[in-house]
Amino acid sequence: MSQQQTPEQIIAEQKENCPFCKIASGQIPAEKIYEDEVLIAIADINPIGAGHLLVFPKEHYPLMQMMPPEIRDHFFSKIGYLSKGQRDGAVLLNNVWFIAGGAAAGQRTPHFMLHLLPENQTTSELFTQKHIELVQEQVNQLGGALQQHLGGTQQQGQQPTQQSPISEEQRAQLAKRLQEDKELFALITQDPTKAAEKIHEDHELSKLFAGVDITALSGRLSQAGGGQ
Amino acid sequence: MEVYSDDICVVHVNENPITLGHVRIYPKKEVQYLDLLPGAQIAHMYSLANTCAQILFEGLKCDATNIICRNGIDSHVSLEIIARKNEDGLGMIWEPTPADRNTVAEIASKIKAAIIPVDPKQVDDVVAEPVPEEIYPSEPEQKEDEQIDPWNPKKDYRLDALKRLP
Repeated sequence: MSQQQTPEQIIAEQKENCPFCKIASGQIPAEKIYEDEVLIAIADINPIGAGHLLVFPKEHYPLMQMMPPEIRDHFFSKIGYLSKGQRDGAVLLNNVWFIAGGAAAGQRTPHFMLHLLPENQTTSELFTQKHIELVQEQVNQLGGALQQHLGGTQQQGQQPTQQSPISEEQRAQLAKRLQEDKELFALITQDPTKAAEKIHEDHELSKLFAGVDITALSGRLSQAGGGQ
Repeated sequence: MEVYSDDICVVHVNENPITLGHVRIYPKKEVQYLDLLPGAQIAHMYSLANTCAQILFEGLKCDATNIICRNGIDSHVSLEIIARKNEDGLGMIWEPTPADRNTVAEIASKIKAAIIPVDPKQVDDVVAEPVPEEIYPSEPEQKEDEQIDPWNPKKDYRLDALKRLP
């Protein structure tokens, strides 16, 4: 028998002892501010300051990433109303929407929630942070990963928002060349920097690839290549 | 460094970060408070934030993430996604201190009264606007001959994630 629990088993265990599930079902009383079929907002009894609210889905999701997209969209589409109400009702100038995903970020309970915090001296000090020196290479790597995940998928959407700097004719020639020239294709996908050098040195190639971002092309080709 | 942009918002890797793995999402419309935007736009921004947090979690192997929006501090509000490590010294964690129940109840009723004027129907109309579809998790990419790339995770992240909960 395996000792390893599945995520479903872990979540089921958490649910049994979850005070926020009990608040949602009415077993534990709370100062409810707002409630609908998906979410509930209550006043925190251990507040960081006057007007501290907790907003959470009625269903038990340990993390935001585990919420189904339609539940998450519903949840966040209502936060604005609660936020405005919090500022008006508790007479606050500013407020903070705070989510902690994981204990290291300050999550205290395995029931996902959003804190609507009043901005006061305590929170102001809490969130004022020193800046660090930039490590450009790491930032580039992170940026590249985000670009790939966020931008890459957007291309599959209905609207071709991506502006191509190259003409249809050039694109067709390029596609043909890449189909025929397996060596070049491989070089671009495996080592875009070296490929860019080679293209730059070759007159014919540099004309063919004019205006093309080799690194971006490499990313797209390896994605497409893997999918086929 | 801009990494994504659409009609509603733009995603930046912060060039002046408080930690490695600090991403900001700005609405295209320059507002001081995020709640001045329609609900569907807020939901869209959090959908992107959700994806960014996931990428930070997997790619940087961080222990947790914060998603924070400080309303009213800057003239152009942003959502901040911050990668966290155990004992990274950033703090942003407070000790829960019990407050007087009557005081809590009193403020709660005032906030409740301030929220009531919202017509639930109107709220639903806003929700009904099309929200761009979920973009994560993307299809696992197939690559032959490769070792595990932390930036392109394939396994069920939930087990790892659940270990990092209190």
